[in-house]
Amino acid sequence: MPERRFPARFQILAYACGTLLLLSLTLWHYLMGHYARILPAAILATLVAGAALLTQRRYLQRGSAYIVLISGYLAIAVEAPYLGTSISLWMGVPPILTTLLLPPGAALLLNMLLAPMWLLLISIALPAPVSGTHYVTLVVISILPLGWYMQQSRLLKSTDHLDTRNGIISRDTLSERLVAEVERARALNQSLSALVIHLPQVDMADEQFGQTTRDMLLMTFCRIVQRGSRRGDALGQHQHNVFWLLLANAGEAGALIVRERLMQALGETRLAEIGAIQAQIRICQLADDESAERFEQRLISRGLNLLEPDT
Amino acid sequence: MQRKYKTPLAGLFLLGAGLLAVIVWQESDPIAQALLAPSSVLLALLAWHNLTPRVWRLVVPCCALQLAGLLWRAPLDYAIGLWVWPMLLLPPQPRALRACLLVMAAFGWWQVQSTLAAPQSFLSGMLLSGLMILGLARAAEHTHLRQELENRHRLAPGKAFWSLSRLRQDIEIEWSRRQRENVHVELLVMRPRQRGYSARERLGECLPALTRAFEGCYRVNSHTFGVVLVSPDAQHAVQRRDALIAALPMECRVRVAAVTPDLDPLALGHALAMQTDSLYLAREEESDHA
Repeated sequence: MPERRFPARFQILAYACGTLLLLSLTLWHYLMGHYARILPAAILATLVAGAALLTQRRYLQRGSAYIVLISGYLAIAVEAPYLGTSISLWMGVPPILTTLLLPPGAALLLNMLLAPMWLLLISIALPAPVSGTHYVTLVVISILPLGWYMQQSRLLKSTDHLDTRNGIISRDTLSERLVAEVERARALNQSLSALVIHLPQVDMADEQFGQTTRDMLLMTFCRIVQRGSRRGDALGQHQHNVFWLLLANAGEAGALIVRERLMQALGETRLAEIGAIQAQIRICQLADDESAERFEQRLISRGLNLLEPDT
Repeated sequence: MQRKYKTPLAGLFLLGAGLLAVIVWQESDPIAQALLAPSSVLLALLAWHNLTPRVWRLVVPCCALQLAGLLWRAPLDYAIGLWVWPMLLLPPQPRALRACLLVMAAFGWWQVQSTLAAPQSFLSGMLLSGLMILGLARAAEHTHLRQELENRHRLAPGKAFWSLSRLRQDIEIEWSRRQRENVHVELLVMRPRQRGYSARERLGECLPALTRAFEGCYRVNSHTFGVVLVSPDAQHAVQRRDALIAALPMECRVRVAAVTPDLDPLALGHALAMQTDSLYLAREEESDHA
């Protein structure tokens, strides 16, 4: 699920509304002389006010949502015995509050877990079967409007890893792209070359300096490759430290030039902890009658050769 | 389109429909029954449907009217329904409808509060407005999700079908490749003459099969699809284009434009919507000139 971003202003307004509500409740109890019920309402009002203040910090948003949720639960639970028949109205508040404040799955689970408690509270004043059906119906129906949201965010998550990251094509998409490039080279009667690039420092950077250094290494590498190759040449990550650069319409001479250019640029770059980027690059050419699968196999075995330690 | 991503959701819709049916069955007042039954049927139908924003635009007003009717008819029995109003704000919908829902929620509250004592009616009104604001805040997340959806490249996992933002990027790439490789690149946008979702879906399913692996298929807007065709020269391009149009599963209006860096696929899609001929070729001079 993508990161939840409440527009903070709306949320603060809603929490302020809740604070005001609980303050009016406190005032009402004071005026009516229900002195025992003043303290809980006053404490809950303070809690919700605090949550409204906390909302401005992004990392505290989830926490403040939980504070408001618990305050809402407690307020309803404390008042429930005094509500009489109108409890059928107020029982609808906790599930709605949960659905609005929590992600859909968690909200559904929590509502179902808390159902016995609320139903017990309702049963003081009302026949259980009818109000129980109403409660469960409300819980289920309140989730449904989020359906589009749930569906789309799950779709987004499942397509996300297939897309390119920082201009590097992921492994699944890479072989799809290779098939397309081979077919294009055949249709247009062009040559196709590929560079298999091994970066031995990736493992070392990850183990010794952590992920940040590794990401920096990959980003720098990616930038250098983009600068050294032409627009539309596909750079893909086949293994975590083996990359393929597909050069369309490039013969052996062109691929050699690109390789020299890359080697030089990588050698000249200095990274903070790693120093110059080392790379081993092999050139593969698409043969005249070679299928895409064979070519891919050849690239894979070339990559494996590179991974073996030098003898 | 993405059938397998909604199975648990379809179950929830059916459950909701079933629960409403139980309530209808328990209800003795025929008018309340008549108001609840359509909602039950509607939810059951939604379980088999794709939840596009367009479907919601129809469903939300229907549900809102039924809910308002129910609160007007039996405010005492269905008081709990008052809290459904904030939830109705959540699905994607136009702004005017949201404003309308706020007014209807106020009406619903007015019906319900007549059965309550003064302090409770005041508190419930306040709580409802607080929840409505929270609902609006939650609905604003959808805007954010929409932006992310527009920026993604692949439309469905495992399918070589791409988004408009990918098309824009590919147009620039193809333009630079065209200059290097001296090939002929053109963008075909097409729109089925037949109306309706099923025709578009069928075309969307067929297109990746009809094109070669290096010819990208794109969704330009909800009615229009695009294909980038790459051919060695203009003569081959005509053959390829004719072969593709002949292979399409239904009659489509097609517009062809040479790929240039300032080619706007959306504008092309709009022009296609106005077009009456089956095939329109943007003039070749434009591409030569560019």
